[in-house]
Amino acid sequence: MITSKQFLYASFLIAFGALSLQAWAYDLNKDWRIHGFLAQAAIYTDDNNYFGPSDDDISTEFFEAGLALNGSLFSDSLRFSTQLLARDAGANDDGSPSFDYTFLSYDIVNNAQWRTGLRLGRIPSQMGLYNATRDVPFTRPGILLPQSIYGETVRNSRFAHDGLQWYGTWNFDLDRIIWRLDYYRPLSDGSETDDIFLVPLPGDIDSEDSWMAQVIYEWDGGTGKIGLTYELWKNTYQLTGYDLFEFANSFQYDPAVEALDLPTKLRDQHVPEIIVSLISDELSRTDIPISERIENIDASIPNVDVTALVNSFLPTINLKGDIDIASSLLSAEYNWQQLTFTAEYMVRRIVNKKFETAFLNKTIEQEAYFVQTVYHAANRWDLIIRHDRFYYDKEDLSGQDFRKNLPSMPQHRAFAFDTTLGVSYHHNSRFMGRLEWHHVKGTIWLPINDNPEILLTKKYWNMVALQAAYRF
Amino acid sequence: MHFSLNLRPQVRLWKETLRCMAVGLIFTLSGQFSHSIELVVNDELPQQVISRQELLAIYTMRQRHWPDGTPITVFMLDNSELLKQFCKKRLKIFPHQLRTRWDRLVYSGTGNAPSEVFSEDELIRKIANNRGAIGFISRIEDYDHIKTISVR
Repeated sequence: MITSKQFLYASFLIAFGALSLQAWAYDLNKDWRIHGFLAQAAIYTDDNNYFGPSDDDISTEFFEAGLALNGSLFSDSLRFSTQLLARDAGANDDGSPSFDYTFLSYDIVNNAQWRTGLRLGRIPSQMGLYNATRDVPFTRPGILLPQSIYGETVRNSRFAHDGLQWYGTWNFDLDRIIWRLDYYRPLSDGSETDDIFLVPLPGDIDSEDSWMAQVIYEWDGGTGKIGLTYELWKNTYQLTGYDLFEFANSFQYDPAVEALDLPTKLRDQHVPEIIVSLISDELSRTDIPISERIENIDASIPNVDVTALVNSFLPTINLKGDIDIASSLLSAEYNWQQLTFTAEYMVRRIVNKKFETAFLNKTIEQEAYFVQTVYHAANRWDLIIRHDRFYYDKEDLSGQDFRKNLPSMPQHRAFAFDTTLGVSYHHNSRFMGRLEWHHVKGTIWLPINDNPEILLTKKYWNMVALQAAYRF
Repeated sequence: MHFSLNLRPQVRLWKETLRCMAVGLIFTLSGQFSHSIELVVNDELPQQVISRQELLAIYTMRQRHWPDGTPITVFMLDNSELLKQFCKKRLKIFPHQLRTRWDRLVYSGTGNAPSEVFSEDELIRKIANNRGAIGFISRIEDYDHIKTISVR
């Protein structure tokens, strides 16, 4: 039987094939355009998994395809853009198509000197030099972007956001200044917030209205550029006794259920034995999480509110606070005839505040940077060399404190140094092939979904990736 | 010593021959790879000259109207060698820079790249039929509704 996901996926590929038979960018009429791209990679790692089971094996679970449509509505000042993306990336993404961005853009002023306007909708997040087009192989310098700043583990919540953007450009001589200011609601993904903290947190993290600002100065027609991006991603955190109970039961065994000893307590409350045994049977299941078991009990025994009952036996905890994730990113790029040099440096401050328990109000500063050179060897060949670093806590570079505080994590998950060598071959403007080698020390940006047994991951590892890409 | 004295005129001759060959090769190669580049627009446009700054604004897709308000349409032949020459001689930026700029515009949904065409005849036809059109070609003959425009 064909599931709706497979159906969507198949229609996507058919539409893609039909459209790509047309010109490079399919001109619907004078102004509307459709673009598309398709890329498949094969990944080998000598240790650890990256995008599927790649450990000493070859994983093909890295596939990217996109269809983008844009054009003007009513007048040249109002434009509509959208992109449908299907992406498979190991255990992080399953390949089902979704809308990556969809927004309206309105130019308030647009002349030779100035351009400024507003965008509204789901807008690509303009973090640094690459984030807004991070899923398009043709806009990346290699198969993978530097994972310190453009980490896969936070891609789904970081790629785009729902909100309003004020954009502008001021041109003078051959130079220009570009700015963007976004006020938005993040597309949060609970499991990805966990990835920022590297451990699953009990309780609820909810994203609040956040903002981002970017300024870029380009000179000599874009030969050089420097930019600064700042983002304040605001979250609230709440933890109750019930969350802790749920969290404790998300492991293989059920310590919290046993400790609670609900049946005895129910009998003490003179709950009929038949109901007690129903409840204890359901509670002792191990195939579904505790929250579902309790929902089942609630549904099957309408007279007993088990959630309330469980709560009445749990310690009263109500931990509340704010978690602000503030990222400052400095970007620089310079072009020579055959070289493009790029460097970016980011500090991400994770600030816990407004917690009543004082020791929880702490701040961690993460540090990430890379330097990269692309050599445009000949018309068709590019060579890339990059060194990329990421530290979980810049006050604890070796990860010693990290290991002490998080015994469930290996010490090498506190950092990663990645040295990359790669080559790109541009067959023509449509076809491209890439090969690259990563030599990595550390595991901070390894997706936990691909490596559930994180303690077994290796500190030193290598990755070789091959990718073929097509666009129209 | 005696030996080398005898060889000197021969060495000079070899050097001379090599130099001639090199110069010849450079001429041959440049004849083959260096196209003449002509910038052309629809002849209804009043403009006769264009500044490098304006040309760069047009080709980086940030200037979308001519001074008289006509919307600009940029057509480009799918020919990387011609683009390279155009970047070098007219825009004075590197082709990889321009391609990166277009790709980032297109795939972030914030703009478009030039419309690609697949032959010079198609390019000429499109420019002749479109009042705001601009493009560059390697040969120039007398076409209807098309004029060359010089870069200041």
